[in-house]
Amino acid sequence: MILDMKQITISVNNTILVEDFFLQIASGELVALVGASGSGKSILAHSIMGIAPKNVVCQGEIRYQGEPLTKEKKRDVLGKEIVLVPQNISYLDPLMKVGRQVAKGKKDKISMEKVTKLFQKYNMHSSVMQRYPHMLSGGMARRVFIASALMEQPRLVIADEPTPGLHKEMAQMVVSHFREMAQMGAGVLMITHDLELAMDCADKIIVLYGGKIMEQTNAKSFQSENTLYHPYTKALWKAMPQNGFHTTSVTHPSKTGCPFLKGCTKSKKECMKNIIPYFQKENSIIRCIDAGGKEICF
Amino acid sequence: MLLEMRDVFFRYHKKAPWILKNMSFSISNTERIGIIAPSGFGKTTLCKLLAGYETPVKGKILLDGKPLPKKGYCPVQMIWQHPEMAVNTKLPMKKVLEEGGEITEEMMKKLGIQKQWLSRFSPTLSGGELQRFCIARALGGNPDFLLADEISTMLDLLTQSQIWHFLLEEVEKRKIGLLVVSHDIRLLQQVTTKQIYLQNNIS
Amino acid sequence: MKKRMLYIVLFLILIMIIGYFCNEGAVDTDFAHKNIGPSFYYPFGTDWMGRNLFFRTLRGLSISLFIGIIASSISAFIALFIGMTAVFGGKKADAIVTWMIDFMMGLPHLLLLIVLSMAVGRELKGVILSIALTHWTSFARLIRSELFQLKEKNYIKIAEKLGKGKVYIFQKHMLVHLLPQFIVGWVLLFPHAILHESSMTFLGFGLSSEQPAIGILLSESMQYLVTGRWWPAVFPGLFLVIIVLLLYCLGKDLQKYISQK
Repeated sequence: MILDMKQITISVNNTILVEDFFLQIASGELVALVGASGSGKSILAHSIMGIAPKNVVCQGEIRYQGEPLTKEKKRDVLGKEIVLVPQNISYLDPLMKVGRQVAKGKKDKISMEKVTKLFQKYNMHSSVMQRYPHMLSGGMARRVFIASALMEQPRLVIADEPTPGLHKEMAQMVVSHFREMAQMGAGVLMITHDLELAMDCADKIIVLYGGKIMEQTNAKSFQSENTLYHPYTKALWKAMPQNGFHTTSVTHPSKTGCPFLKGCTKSKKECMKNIIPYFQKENSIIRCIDAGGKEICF
Repeated sequence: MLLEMRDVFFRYHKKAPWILKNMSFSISNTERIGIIAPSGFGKTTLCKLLAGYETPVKGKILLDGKPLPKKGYCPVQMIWQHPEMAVNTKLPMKKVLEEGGEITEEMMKKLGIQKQWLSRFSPTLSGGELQRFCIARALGGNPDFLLADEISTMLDLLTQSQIWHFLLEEVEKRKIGLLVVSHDIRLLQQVTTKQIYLQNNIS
Repeated sequence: MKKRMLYIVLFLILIMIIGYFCNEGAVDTDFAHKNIGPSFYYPFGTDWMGRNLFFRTLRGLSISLFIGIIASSISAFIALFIGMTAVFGGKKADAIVTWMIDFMMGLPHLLLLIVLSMAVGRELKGVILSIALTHWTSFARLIRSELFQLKEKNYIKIAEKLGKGKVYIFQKHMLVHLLPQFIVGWVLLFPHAILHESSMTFLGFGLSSEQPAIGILLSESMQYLVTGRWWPAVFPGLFLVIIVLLLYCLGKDLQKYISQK
């Protein structure tokens, strides 16, 4: 396991944002973390990378390649072995040429050659290196981020919403680059709101809602409603335009009990309880008492 | 009611390349039309022209045979792709909503706008939350036509379907013509009755 | 930061009020106690006519602040008016305004101040008017570019299409963005105005020598500096610098505070 997270709870000023979260990424695996805006997915990435605001408290166990990811360890590996592909160009220095930023300020021959190669690899003309961030188009900025991530040899790549604002072909191209990184042996965590994109490229999909994992399943399970077990994931499936475009009236996760309490047709008294265990059924892990399967603990 | 685009040519500067060339197109207020075009086609420009944000270099935009009003309320309203840029960051959301006109509580409920959001400012709300306000604002003044420019790309599936169901219901009820621009063909097949595929350099 | 800003404002107000009541003490001559160095009764010493330099400095600072407030206020409103004319008056008005700003900025600043002051007839009126009429340029440019940027914002255009008039849009949409900028710019004009008032007066083109302005104090002190009497120059000079720095600090703090909000 490259990354192994267990019983993660993230809170800000005593408000819990993410509760009892788990995540395992193996080498060569692309895991998609899918959730609506406000489901707490970005804060997770920021917590792993240690760039969350100071009042964000992250509890639980994070292991990186078998060892706990302590503060000292983080200093050694962040930016080198663990890299973040950020959301937008605001993460770039607006006053520095793109090429130099990708090279991380290094000017020696080997680094420069590597930058040139990476730019070639991602279909960018070498003149792009001389541009400033605001002169990049959306797709180009994404490729610059990816090139920047590959300057070191990353073992774990965390991509925070890498595709919004891009049209479909471009998004698929960006995602294919992540696929490639996984094939090279890295673990990739892709955080996105776009379930369809995740279905196309990921191995595993984790569906997050209201700060809680609803279901973790293989991407293939999304091909049919029958292989999905959580009512929320089923509702997502049915809401796809090609699957009937059904709607549910609830948009806001309930704070106590199961977040999907109000939208679920089968909700019972037990769903109001604060702690809902995880159940395993075939290749899926579901957080619903109605799903059946074997109760598991992390 | 008929919104027409007649032989329109458009470019931003005299030296810039043409974005639209000899484009003609019409939509009635009982129609729902979807537009699919390759990237870089100028879909947003097309919407801006139809809603009167830009004026064509050559050709005409006509609403029932008359040009769009230059001042005052424009009966063709556009919902923008990026809601965070369509809302003043220094105004509470309540004021943003008021600008559109009267918005009933029922409408707010259907759109999933929570009451406590009203006192908040746009940077504290997510794109999906803001887009609901933008939709409410666009509907507030009872327009005759609505142009939706990639309005649901940043939304998750449940919110997307919820917002579209609401919009379709309102459009039906109030007899508003709807033009939807999107790259998602399957979505357009769901929400529109007719789809137009545009190619580059149609002239 | 909020506290610091409050303290600075209170300190400045205090100096203005105390200085206002120091008028008598500042002009009282006492030849029995002339040229005394700093002591308990005369913290800043006395000058060649036995006037208490502590009172004179306070009075001078108070005059400077008073002139600063009025001149920078007039200047700020000129800048606002001119900036708005450029943005809302059409292309021609904008061309004229831009030319005017460039022209004013091209002229040597101090020279312009002196000429204007002479033309109006020196004294308080001359100083205030000349400062007010020369300090609006860069501020007007800032307001103009800020308004132009705002005008291009999507939400402003949307408001137009929703049928809102120019006045409504300015009040509801633009003012909330412009006002903080305006206040910061205004405060930052302050130290400029005060320094220019002092230098003009020092050179003899500003306030008349009967008034205990800081510029006058400094120019009078020059003759005694060579004889080793340092106090008539150091204390007024030091306090002028302190006041200017405080104002600058206030402006910068305000800028930070507003940008955080």
